[in-house]
Amino acid sequence: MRLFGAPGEPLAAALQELMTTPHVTLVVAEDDNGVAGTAQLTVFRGLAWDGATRGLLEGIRAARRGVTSALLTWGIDEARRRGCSRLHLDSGLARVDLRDFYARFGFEQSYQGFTRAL
Amino acid sequence: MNDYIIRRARREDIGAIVRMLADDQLGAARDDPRDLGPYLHAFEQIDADPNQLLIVVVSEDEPVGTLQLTIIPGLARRGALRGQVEAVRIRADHRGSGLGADLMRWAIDESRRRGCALVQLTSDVSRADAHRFYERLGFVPSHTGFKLKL
Repeated sequence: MRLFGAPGEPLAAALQELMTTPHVTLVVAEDDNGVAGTAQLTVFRGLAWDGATRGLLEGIRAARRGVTSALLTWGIDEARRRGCSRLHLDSGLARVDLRDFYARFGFEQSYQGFTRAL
Repeated sequence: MNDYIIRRARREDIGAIVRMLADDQLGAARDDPRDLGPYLHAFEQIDADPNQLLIVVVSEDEPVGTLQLTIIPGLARRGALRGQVEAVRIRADHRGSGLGADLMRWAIDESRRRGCALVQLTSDVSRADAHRFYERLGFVPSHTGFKLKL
C-alpha cells in the first residue's frame, strides 16, 4: 500500500483544483487494485487551548479495516509533523462499530457533533 | 437594550477574548490570560488566513462575545464547502440576552454568504445546556467527535 497527497502525483493533481487551501490535505490510500481509501486532514490554529495548533481528521472512507488503520496512522503522524498538539476525529453517529477501533489508536470519545444544513 | 457590533477580531481584542475562553468550566483548566504570547502568535496566523475568521461582538468598545469560523473545502456532498464554528463564548454579564443566538446566526449567515452547504460544530459531551442551545438554532446531532493528545 502507498499513501500519497503531494502535488504532481496523478490523482492529487486532479484534486488540487478542489483543494486550494493550504491548511487542508486530502489523501488517498492505494493498493494493488487502485484507490482503497481516503481521508482529509485540516490543520487549525485557534486561540483556545493556549493558542494550540490542532488537526481535524475526517472524511475517512476505506475499503477494509487495514486501510482505515493506515489512514489513521498517516493522519496522526502528519498532524504531529505539522506541530499539532491535538488531533480531532469526526465519525458518523451510526458508526458505533468504529469506536473501539479508534480507541485502540488512543482516541477518546469526547464531543457531540452537530450539523445545520444551509 | 445595548448596541452590539460584530466584526473581525483585532490584535488589541486578544486579551479580552482569552479572558472569555478561560472563564469557563472547561477553559479554566487549559487557558491562561496572564501570558498572551502564544495567543498573539495564534492570532497572527488566523488573521493571515482568509478562510479563518476570529470574530468578536463589541459593546461599548469592549469585546463581550467571540467565536471562530473556519471555512473547510471537501469532496463530500458534491464538493461542498463547510463552515466550522468553535470557541463560542459570551461574557458572563451579557448572557441570557439572546446575544449568543445572534452571534451564531451571524456565523450561519456568513457561512451561507461564503457558499457553504452546511455549518458544523462539536461541543464537549458535558455541555448539556450548549447542546440544547445549538438544537434551538436548527443544529441536529449528527456525529461523534474523538480527540487524541499528540
